Amino acid sequence: MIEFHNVTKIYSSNGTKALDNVTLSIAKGEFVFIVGASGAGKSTFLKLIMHEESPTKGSIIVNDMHLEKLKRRKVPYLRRTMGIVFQDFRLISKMTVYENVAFAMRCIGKKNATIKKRVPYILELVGLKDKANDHPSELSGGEQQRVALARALVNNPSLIIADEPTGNVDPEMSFEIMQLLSEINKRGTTVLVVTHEHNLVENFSKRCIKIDDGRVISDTGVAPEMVAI
Amino acid sequence: MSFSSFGYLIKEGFKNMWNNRMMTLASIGVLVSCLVLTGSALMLSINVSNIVDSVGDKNVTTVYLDDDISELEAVYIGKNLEKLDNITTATFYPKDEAIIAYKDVLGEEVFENMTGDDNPLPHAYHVVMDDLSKYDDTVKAMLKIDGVSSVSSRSDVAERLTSLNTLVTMMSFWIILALGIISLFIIANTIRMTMYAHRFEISIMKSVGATNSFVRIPFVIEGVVIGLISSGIAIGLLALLSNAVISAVEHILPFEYIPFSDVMWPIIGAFLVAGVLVGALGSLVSIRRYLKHEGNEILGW
Ligand SMILES: Nc1ncnc2c1ncn2[C@@H]1O[C@H](COP(=O)(O)OP(=O)(O)OP(=O)(O)O)[C@@H](O)[C@H]1O
Ligand SMILES: [Mg+2]
Repeated sequence: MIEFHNVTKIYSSNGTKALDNVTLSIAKGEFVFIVGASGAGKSTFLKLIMHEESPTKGSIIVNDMHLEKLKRRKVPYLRRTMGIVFQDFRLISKMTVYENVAFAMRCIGKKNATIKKRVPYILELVGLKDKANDHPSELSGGEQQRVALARALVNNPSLIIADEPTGNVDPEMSFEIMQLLSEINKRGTTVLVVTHEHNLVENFSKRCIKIDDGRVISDTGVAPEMVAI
Repeated sequence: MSFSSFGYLIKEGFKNMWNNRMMTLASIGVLVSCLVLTGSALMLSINVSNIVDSVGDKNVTTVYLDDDISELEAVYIGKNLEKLDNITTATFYPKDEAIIAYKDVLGEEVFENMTGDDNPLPHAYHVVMDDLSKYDDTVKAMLKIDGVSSVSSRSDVAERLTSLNTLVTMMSFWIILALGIISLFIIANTIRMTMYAHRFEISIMKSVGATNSFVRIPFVIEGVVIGLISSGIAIGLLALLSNAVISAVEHILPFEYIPFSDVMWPIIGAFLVAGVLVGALGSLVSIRRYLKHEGNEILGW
């Protein structure tokens, strides 16, 4: 699913080495936590996966696409295979919950009929069916993040990337969101979660990759339940 | 792309215009002014060259032949005159006919002595030129023909009108060019503002995998609609303006003017095409720039 071979990322604007010779691979269907201090390079790792940034050295393969060979105009098609969730939700405030989720489908040219069927189904999945006509400002942080998650899921991606999805959500809600991600993972979607919250990582006992100063300093490897499969 | 997403994008384009209505109105205003000015320059140019043409038709230049040229030789010279590029017609004006014009002045007796072989006048041709601005070159060419002795100078009015025509044509060209560039700039700037107002949505669009061409469509539609509305208003204004100016000038300078209705369809066509082109081009230019630079990144991540 995701393979990094000796990947180094140096930001040319200020010469910061954000990732330093990283080699790792994440299999299809895995659930992976990425942890590390602020500035360790976690977001950079995610940006490289979605080709928001290109590596300075090394090669990256995502969903069988060799990113160094990927043409600029093909990047949107790479992104359609993944759903992204940000810490700050990134919902459009003047759109309703329904419209926010439908927006992701419109953006890739889906038909109205398809949208009308798919959006309610996904809203039900994240438990927000009765909030469909609310605006994001009327929702709690946890609910907003579930809308963002619904938007990331609606195009049926094979990979979900979440950069500190619980950073702006209170602890109880954080647990719910993580449970939702775990649920989604059980249905076959690969999930990558960057987080600061150690208790969550401990609670869910999944594979955990720790990054420090651009290097992978520990990797628990594939979680026991995955090995069982 | 599916039909429903195209419908969605058109709706978005109109919504953008409404949300950004001050800028939209301002750019429609500038565009209308540009088009009306361009159209006025065009109407002026059309009318001046029409007047020049009609004066030119009446403005017959007389070409005098050498004294010893016989009527037969004159026919040959006439053929050579007509061969010249800028000559529309060359009509033979025999000296027997020319002397008749002087009959009253000379008196019967003198006139009798000047007819036939004793006629002191040379044979001549009346030539009409196609393009009076080439007058000097044409005269030179005519003088080179064997047997041509001199050419009458043309009338002052024609001369002035011709240089006015050249001036108006030149000025119209530069006005049209300058205003075209200004319009492009205005549209590009308006679309740029709209794009900045939507940078958050654009960023989300790109993170969920929208292609650049998809992101572009609402903005191009906005540009084209602004262009079309402007050309529509400009056509109406130009019609009113040119009719008013012609009816005012008609009394002072009694020429035949070409009214707007005579040249309406080509102008309407040109304005609509110009509106669509400027709108589409202006927006494409700024979207391209935006998506290459600021819009190429996911906002603030
Ligand atoms: N666009 C950029 N240009 C230059 N330097 C950058 C850029 N983005 C990140 N960096 C630098 O690269 C390093 C890694 O940043 P990154 O955002 O990957 O860290 P992070 O682990 O996500 O941190 P946090 O937990 O605070 O989000 C940091 O030193 C950061 O300052
Ligand atoms: Mg980060």
